[in-house]
Amino acid sequence: MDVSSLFDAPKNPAYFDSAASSLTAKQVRAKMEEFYSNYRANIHRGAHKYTKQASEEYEAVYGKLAKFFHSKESEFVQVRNTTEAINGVALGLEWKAGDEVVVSSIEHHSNLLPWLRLKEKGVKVKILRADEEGKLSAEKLKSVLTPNTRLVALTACSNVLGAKEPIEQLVKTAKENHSLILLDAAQYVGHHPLDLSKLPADYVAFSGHKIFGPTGIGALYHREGAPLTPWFVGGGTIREASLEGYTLLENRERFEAGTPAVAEWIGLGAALDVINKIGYNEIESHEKKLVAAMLEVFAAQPKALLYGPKAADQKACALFAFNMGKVAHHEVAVMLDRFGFACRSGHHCAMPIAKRLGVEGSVRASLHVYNDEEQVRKFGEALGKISALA
Amino acid sequence: MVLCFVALFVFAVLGIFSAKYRALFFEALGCVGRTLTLRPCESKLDERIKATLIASLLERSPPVARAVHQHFSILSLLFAILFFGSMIYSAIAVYNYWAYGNCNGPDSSAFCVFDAVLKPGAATLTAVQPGAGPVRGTGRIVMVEFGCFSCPYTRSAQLPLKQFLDQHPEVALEFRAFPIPTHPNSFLAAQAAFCADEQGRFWQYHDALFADADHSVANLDRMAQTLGLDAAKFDSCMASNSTSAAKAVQRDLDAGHAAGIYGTPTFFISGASLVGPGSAQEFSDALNGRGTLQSNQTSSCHLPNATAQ
Repeated sequence: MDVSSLFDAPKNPAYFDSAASSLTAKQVRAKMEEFYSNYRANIHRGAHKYTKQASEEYEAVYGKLAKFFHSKESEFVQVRNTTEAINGVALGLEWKAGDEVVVSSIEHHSNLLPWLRLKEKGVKVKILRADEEGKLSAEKLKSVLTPNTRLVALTACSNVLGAKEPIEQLVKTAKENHSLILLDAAQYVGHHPLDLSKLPADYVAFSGHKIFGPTGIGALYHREGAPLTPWFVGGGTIREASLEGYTLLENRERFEAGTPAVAEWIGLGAALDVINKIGYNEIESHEKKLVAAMLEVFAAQPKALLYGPKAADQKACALFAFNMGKVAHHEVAVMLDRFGFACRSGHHCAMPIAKRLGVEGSVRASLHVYNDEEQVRKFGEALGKISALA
Repeated sequence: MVLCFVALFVFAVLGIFSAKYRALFFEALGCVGRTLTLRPCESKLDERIKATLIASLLERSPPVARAVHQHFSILSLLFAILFFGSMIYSAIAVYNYWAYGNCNGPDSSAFCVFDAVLKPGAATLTAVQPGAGPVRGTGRIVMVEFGCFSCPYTRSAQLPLKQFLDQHPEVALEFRAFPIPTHPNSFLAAQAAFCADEQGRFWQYHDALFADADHSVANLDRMAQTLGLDAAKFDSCMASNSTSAAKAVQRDLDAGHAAGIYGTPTFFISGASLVGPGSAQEFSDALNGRGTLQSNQTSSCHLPNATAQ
């Protein structure tokens, strides 16, 4: 199918920053516009036509999520983004001194800081070290697990290194230890399917803006039976309230205090429709070509220092962090912008990775289904120009 | 880092005209503040400027881009020094222009760049007809020169002028005194030349004045003695500014002002005017109706606070 018709992809500079935020599909924008134009109203607790339609569209998204991830509607909670979802789990579990949390050395700050903060409660944070290319190992995970390991929080795909992780084995290992397991799937869901009927993760967090959806919206999956108490309470979360106290609802609504982001949530549902329309097979096969082409580009640039896997079959997505010799990463990004490529530079909210690599930061080129091999070829030419400085 | 200081000034000026540059000005301001307190520039404005510049160079000449990239710190420091040095000199020049009418200071006759913009007098010079001053030569075409004996540009005009007159015997030269008031003893020197004229020795004294830049009263007397002038008559002629010689100088000055003259030397020939020393060829071109002498303002001794005519 002609994927390019689904997006208004910018041409100059070409968009190579999808790991930060993907482009929003036209269909998503149209769906949100439909809400604002035709049935702009708050959801629930209303009798008029507009609130009914808004509520129907809003509720339908839970159904889409359940179908998309092969799970149940009641297992999803609306959040602003992955960061809020992970913080929600950290705040929504009851911790006691001596509990242990395992996180990896390649986490985004959003899956690191919420756990480090638990140290104030006496929780011990243990680190699962990734290898040089950013690959995690179930064997290593097993070695850091103890009976006190309450939760394992791991990325499904690093936003810097982009390595293919053994997710199934990692989840299985954590479950065998009777630990809860949370997956940061922010960089994963837009590129690969996640079947939660087969993968027994307890919590999965992801953002809408990385899967062709709007900004400011995301979802937290929490498996039925996995412990979690609401981190916010307020309007819409209670069965009964008085001046003395309150009783929370027992369904997912107890997690969604206040008026939700209706338009964005409906937009997220449309983003799932877009992925379904393209199909994960098409996304994976297209990205495979992009990964191979990009790796060829980097192989042809001896002064380019590429971080993460160098073999195509070890990459989870077309995401490449690199430096060009002694040229500062920020300067390289500015030059690439000048040469027609919108890339990101910095530590990418993963300072421990930068420290491990011994750099202040890196340039990151992250591609998606709307990019093509011709852009990759021109990207190689641009790197060739910059290599004259390296 | 040092580039942020330059950027601060540049964007401050550009920011007057565009909000886009105002935002960059505030970025540069923050960068300067952090640099002065020995902290790294958070906005990375300096890196952006550097990278944008290098990217432009890469598209034109990779070797030059590489050289600039490798030595960027030194080059930017040199650029900053030149920038701020020129800013300081410009400020001094503006002050001089305001205070003395010449951007080079009260005693200078050097070219002032502001004249081209602020003194468009040459284009409006009124042609001066000959017949009021001493004449050298017998040619039927008379070239009128307004000159100051203390002006280095008038002095440097004498050699090409002689060459021109030698090549064109049909041209005679009439001299009109236009002493620049900021030049010491310029009026006295002109008065002395007209005193010599009363004894029939104007052109000899004229040449002596350009040959010797010391126009002190004692040296003016010495020149008169050397030329064999009657000392008593010369002293009497120089005694006050109400003598006929002094009045002749003032008459020439008034004529020059009326013509819109703002600097010396200024020449009038065949309907064209030339401000500045010129060359023999330029004088020839003017004589033949060629060339562009009408607005030549390259170098001359300017009147202080001269205004457009």
